[in-house]
Amino acid sequence: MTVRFGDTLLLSAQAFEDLVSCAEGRPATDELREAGVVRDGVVDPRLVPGLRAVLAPVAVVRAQVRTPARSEVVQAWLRPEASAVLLPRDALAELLVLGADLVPAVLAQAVGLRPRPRPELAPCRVPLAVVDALLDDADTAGLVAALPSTWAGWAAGLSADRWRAVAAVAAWPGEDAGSRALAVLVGPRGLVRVHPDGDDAELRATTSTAVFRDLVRLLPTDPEVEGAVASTASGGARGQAAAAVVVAEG
Amino acid sequence: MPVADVVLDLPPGWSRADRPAPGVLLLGLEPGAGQPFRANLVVTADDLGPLDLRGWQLQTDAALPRALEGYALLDLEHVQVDGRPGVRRLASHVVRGRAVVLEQWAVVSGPLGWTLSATVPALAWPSAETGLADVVAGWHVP
Repeated sequence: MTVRFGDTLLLSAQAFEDLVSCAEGRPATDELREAGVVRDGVVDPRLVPGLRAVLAPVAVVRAQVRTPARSEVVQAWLRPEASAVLLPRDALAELLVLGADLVPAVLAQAVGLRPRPRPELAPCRVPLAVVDALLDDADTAGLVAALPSTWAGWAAGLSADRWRAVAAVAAWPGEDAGSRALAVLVGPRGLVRVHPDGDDAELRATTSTAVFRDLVRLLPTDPEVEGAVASTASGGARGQAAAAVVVAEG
Repeated sequence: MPVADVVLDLPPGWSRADRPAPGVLLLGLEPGAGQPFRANLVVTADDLGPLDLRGWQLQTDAALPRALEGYALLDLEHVQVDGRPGVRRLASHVVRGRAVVLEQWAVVSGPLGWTLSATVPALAWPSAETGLADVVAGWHVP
């Protein structure tokens, strides 16, 4: 079964696409009807505000969460009145309909934000390619080799497959189109923020407080999305933006 | 046990109520009546009995998830509060469907455990953070 609907809605990627199509006016699939998501041709009213956000977002957030075992993507579509978040749950995803102000907390959960050690490490530079290899292929060898010896303790978490990487991007369309990105590595010895700089990346030890602050700031401010609200009033902006996050797990 | 008044400078424009309710020594509210949620500061003092800072805060960590909807502890660190060893906690939770951030400082003075709790709408927290740090820096714990 790829759709389960009760207090929460769990569905496959295909079922989500089918639901969005239904919200655009196309016929519902048998699967959506049988699960009770669509009744008598009408989408459950609890989902409608979120689907409106998916179809006409004023901003989109996409967070890639990579662990040694898997890569998942958290997506959020924001509107002032209600937002939608698609949160991976094993083989399915949970569709949440909530206020945009709740999105940072959802992202914090996806990142695995919690009290962590505060590493005292001098910033260092590594080739950006080794960070990409971690994000794309869970390949830790290049990053471990590139880190200075003073980072050996932190790097041990990578070698021991105890890490998570999160890369998140928020973007918004409109006259003042823009985007912000955040990349974080999380290991047993604490959090490290990744600052891309040309072909390199500067790695800086950071704290859960600082990462949460940056997750909140990832979202566009009201003035930034004023143009986007106007531009989505008569049409969709779905897919105009992407986001990604990386975290290492302790 | 008589407890001294709280010596604390609130951010400019905030209203202040001393001992507005049992167990609450001070309530500070940001201006803006009619807003769905107003940032606020609350100071409390608890008789700790035999508990030290660590035992008290372990108890607090256990109690907060039961008391606050959608509570998620984000950060916890040892800090100095008015020159004494203390704890700073950052958490998110939900109030009437709205996301808020709780930033809390706790310190022991004599038999009392003092707590300063700031609750701010989540999206406003980054811009409020510096002001809150200034408030804590000026907090004189009796």
